[in-house]
Amino acid sequence: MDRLYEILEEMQPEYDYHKEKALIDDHLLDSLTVLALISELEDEFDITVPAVEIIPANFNSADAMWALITRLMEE
Amino acid sequence: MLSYCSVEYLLVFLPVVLFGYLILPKTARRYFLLLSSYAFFWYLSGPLVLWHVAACLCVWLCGLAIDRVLAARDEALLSAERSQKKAIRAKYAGKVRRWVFLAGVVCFGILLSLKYTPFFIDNLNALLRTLHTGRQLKVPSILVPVGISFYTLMAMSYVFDVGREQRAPEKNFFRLTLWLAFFPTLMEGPFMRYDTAEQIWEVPRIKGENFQKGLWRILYGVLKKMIVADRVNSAVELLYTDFASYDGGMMFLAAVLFTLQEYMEFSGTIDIVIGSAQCFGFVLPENFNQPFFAKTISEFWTRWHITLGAWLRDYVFYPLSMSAPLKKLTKKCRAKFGNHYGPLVTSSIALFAVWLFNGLWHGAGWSFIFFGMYHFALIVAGSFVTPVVISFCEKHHINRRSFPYRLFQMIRTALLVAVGEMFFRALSLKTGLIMFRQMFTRATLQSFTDGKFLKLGMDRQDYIIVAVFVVCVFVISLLKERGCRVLDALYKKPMFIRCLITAVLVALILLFGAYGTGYVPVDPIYANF
Amino acid sequence: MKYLKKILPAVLTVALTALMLCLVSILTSPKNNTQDAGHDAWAAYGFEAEPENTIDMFMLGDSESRTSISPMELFHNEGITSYCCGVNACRLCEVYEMLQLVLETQSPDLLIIESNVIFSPFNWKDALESITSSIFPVIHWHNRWKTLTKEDFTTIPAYTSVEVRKGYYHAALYNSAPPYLLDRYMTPTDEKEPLADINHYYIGKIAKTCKKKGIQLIIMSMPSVKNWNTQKHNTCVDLSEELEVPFIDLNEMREEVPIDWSVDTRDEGDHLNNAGMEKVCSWLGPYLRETWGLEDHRGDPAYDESWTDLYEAYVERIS
Repeated sequence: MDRLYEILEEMQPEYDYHKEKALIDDHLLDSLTVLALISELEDEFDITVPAVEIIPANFNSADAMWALITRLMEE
Repeated sequence: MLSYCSVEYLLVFLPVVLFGYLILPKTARRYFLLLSSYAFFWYLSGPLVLWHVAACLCVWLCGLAIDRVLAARDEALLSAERSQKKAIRAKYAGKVRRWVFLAGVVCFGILLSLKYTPFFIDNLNALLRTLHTGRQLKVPSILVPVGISFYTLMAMSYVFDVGREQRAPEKNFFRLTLWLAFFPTLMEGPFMRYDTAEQIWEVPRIKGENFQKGLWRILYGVLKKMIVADRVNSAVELLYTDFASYDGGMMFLAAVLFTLQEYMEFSGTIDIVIGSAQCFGFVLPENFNQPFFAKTISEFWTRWHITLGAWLRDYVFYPLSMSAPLKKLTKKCRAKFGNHYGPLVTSSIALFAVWLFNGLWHGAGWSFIFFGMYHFALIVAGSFVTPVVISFCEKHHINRRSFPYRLFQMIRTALLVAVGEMFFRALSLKTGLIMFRQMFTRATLQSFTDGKFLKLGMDRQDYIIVAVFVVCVFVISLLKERGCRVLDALYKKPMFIRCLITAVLVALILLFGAYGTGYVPVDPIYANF
Repeated sequence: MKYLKKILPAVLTVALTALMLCLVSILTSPKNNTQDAGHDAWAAYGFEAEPENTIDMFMLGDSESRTSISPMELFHNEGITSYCCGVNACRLCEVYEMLQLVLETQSPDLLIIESNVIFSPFNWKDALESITSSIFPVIHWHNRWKTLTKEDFTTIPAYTSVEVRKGYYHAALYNSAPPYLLDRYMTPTDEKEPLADINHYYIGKIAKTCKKKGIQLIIMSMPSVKNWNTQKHNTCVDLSEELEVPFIDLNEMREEVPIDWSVDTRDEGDHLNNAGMEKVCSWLGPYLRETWGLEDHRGDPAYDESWTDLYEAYVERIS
């Protein structure tokens, strides 16, 4: 989880990822950033994110992302 | 061309359908809606409605076929050993893909051959001319059913979703047809995902609250269209056809006026569409979310024509950039160019596809392709300079979340959008470029001081009323942006006030709307796409 | 009770909307039938300024009607009181609304419909517009929000301006009709000009209204080489049989009304000028008196103010 925060802050340092709950819905992260983020996550956690998982609900908050990562790691 | 903002639709068709819907029992309501939708379609396009039925049949059958493939797979998986499962999945996934591909070929095939053949042949002829072959092909005139660009994409989103197993295939043909032909969304969207089909099929009772809010929304849309879009029409017409006789200041006015007109026309129509559906009790997806509060071009496209952006994102951008070859490329690039610029290379490739598609979807013409490429270039460039801007701001202690900085971003974005819209509206790519050049080569504001801007078919009062109404829309947008649900807030008022609001809105339309002698209402800009 | 509660908002909304529309209608309507007040057809509405039940005959139609007949001329020669309510480029649906307005204050014996207007195309939306704007004039006058004055907010519309020409539209100059128009003018044929269903419906409605009110309707065609032809004539003949009203075509009566198309037209055979009008009136006056027995009001002091005393002003105005 901490590693996730590090990655997020590295990408776009200006937001407080502990607090933001609507990163996608409030247009804080655009699709280009999301893609960069995914490729980073895939490397870091050794997972593959399928295209169907790229929905706002999975990326709106750090918690949601972490839930996705753990789910994909288990598969 | 009939539009949603017409006497026929608002005073005849919609009331009749609403009344029929109100008095019929539940099951009859479904088929009544379906019948009304096809009657509407027939009224607009005549026998061309058969193309729509063909598309419905195609995606319905493909959906059923995919269903059988998936059922066969599940059976095979049950009896299979663990080691074989992966191979079985892959085998059946291939079969599903074949069906999705077939649906795509049929649906896009119809769209391309009906809408893009003239454009294709035009360009082929130009090529033949440059090669001096002396041969020319005849450009056929093809009649295109209304809303084909909209329903084709919707139909395909259904097939894609079924193929990805995000949605169970539809067994009931009529449910699918009603969703794809639903009359409010027929001409100009918004694109609906298939989950709305279940909602529409439920045919809820008409409720006073829904009806009231829907009616307000419709009236607000009519106001936008009739006060601004129709009123500036003559000026826009004149500026874009007779551009050579105006100076740079007027070109700027042309860009701003058309952007305003397009926003008011399109978002106004969508208000009428969503309001119509709301009167029945259906909730349609929003298509606009205060686009001019966007701080970047890429954010703009998540606020303007949202459902098209979402379609392209979900079915073009992500699948493409998450495909195996592009993922490999991403990895390579990240190693070479770092975390920011590495992924940018591959997403640019996917973005290019998105914007080519977006441009072409808007119409068969080079100016539309240019429009797509313009936004593609702006988004990539924006992403490219972001790190530079961030470090620059940090160095000079500029707070990027402060109000003045955000305001600067919003105005910059709006100006870039307006310039793009100018190319979009220009009669051809060439005239667009001439107009753009004129903005700088003849950069004077003389037309505003010598009164030339009052000779565009708009007098001083016209400009004033447009400005006043734009400010009103701005205030409402600001409220919405701050999270205020305007319609809900109005509905909480006492009954007398609610009725008075309706009465005032109707009076405003009749008083300040641009209609009657001397006004030509603007053709629905998006219905031709 | 529950039912009532459900429809109350709807009823209240409709009532309030009607009230709002009445208010903005009063606001935007011209406050008098004058050009200064912003009225676009002030002459046609001048009959509202005439004393009640003093006009024995009305002419309705488009510009053809208001350029061919002059009520003052008819009064001076025969003592007939009449009024010309023609409005430029109007359609039958507007003629019908105008007739309704006329009947509010006047009870004429005779109504002449100039036949050209019967063929002016319009659709159900135009009809809807003229019906609704007769209830809520804001639909017609809405653009006047641009030019509202203080008076518009403080006064209520009242048409009080007496028109010396009584709706006639004068022209002293002439512009000869070109030969190619004269060549094809009233060439014999059996063809008929098609009449749209909605036009047919409206002319029938006008005829029915007249019958109910005891008004003699006459369909009359004013001379015009540009607008009239045998096809239209033939259709009108059918129409007059069907509606049981007389049809008189002045284009076919070149002896009684000898229009000289080189000097009697103001705009190359489209409309007549003063000279043409005089020729029409010198036949029309006796015809009306003899055939339909319209009363001679000359010498009746009740008609002095609005007719006898204004004749000189009229002559001056039209020359």
